[in-house]
Amino acid sequence: MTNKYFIILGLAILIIIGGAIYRKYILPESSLPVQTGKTINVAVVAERDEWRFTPEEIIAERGDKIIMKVVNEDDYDHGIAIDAFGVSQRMPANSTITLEFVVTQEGEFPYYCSVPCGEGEVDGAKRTHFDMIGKIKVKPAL
Amino acid sequence: MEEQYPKQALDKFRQWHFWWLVVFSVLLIVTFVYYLPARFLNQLSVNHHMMEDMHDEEIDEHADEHMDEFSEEEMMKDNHGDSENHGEYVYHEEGDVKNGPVVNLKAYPEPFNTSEMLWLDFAVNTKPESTPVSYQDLQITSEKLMHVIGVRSDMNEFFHVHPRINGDVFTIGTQLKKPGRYKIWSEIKKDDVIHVFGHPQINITGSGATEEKEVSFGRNVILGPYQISLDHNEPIAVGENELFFSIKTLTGGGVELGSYLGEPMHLTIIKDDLKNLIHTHPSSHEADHSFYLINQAKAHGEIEDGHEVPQEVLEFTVNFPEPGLYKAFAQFLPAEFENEDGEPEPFLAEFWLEVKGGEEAAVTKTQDPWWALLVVSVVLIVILGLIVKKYITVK
Repeated sequence: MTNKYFIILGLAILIIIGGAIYRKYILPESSLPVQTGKTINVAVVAERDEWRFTPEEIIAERGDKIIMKVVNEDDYDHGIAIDAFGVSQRMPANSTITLEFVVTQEGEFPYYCSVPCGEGEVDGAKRTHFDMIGKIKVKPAL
Repeated sequence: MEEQYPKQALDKFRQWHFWWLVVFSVLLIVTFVYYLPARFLNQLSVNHHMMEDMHDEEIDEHADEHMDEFSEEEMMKDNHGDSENHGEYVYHEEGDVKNGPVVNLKAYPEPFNTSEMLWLDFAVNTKPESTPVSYQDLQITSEKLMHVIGVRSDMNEFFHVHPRINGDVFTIGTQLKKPGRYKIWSEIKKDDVIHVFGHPQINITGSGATEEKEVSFGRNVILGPYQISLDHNEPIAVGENELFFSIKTLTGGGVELGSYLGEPMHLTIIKDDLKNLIHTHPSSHEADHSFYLINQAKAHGEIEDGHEVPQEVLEFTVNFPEPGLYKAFAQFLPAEFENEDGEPEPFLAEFWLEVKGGEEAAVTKTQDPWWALLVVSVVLIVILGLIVKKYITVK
């Protein structure tokens, strides 16, 4: 029995050492995680019957931690997904959710409604679920 | 055990056990030998097949009127080719050419400023006698006899235009809306050789900043309803490199690309000292028809029904002549814009690239050879398998 615990312990050590070697020597510099230590608090609102996220653009630096409070003002569900940072969460009707993630890559990345939420007319123009798109612009860390 | 159960039951059990092991082994083999490596390679976009007869499209109706004088055969020859069939590629600075074909640029009216139209005349001739070369002696590349590319010194402003034949010269008028120093190149094909000529820089006056250089190594950009991502091996080294571009909708769906000047994408790469320009086209073009064991559930709540447009991955083979900073300008036209009235404006995605020199690249490259990762993975799998086998063996 003791032998088996040693094997499990050995495996765990092997995996940890392997991970450390990968991160230290194999992972390309551009993929290394960067942490600026800076936190950006941002509120994103799915405005009532507007099929729009406000704001539609968020600017951050690579390595910033973003705490995103997302408000759903509608009487129906929405969702928010940011594929690049592994974010995808449902927002029940009239609810507020909070997301936390670190923007690890430079570039421009979309965030969009991940729950089909219908369509309607806003100021004479048709808007739909597919118009609920915003952009996170990640600049190089200074 | 044999005392407790009759031999017949034990045989039956062993038979079932045997087939269970066979099925389980097959599942493991399919998962680890086929499915996971296939997905891995697919994600890396390194396993593209060569493009086959991609460009059967007709010549754009807005092509230069003089194109009629060229045989259909010649046009098709160019349109069906991949980058290797576009011919040998030679770079010159206009003033350095003492022998052979050259393009001389004359810009007017001076002084150049942002409020006025800038006219550019390109005269093709052969040195040393400066004998004019007729447009009939030139060959078509990407549906045009001449391509003209220009950038501002900070690489923030880019244009790619096509002058029209005007007597003995090629002429185009353009309005540069931002002041600064501009470098212009012309590209022609003669005797199966593509010549790129760098012309003296032009200073455009006007209000506003003349230089706002900002280098960013982002690999994903958003242009209207599309996102364009660039993938490549790290680091990019002097010599031949592969660059992979993929174009998706903002929710990750595929985008059908149309033909822009006979190609799904035009890639222009310019060194930041403006002393080198590479203009190339995809060497391979493949839609991602990955084999999925399960339906793909998309984050926007839809499940793929097999009718969606697959993601396109465009592969370019680019030969970087020297280390330094380069900027890549990728131009493409989604199919939905292809038939717009007039000459549709292509989308332009911009990416900065850092190309490392021989030793510097070699040091970094040795850190990430794919075969080393493969060998390490196989060894680890075997060790893990032996340990697990030992662990589960009933003594």
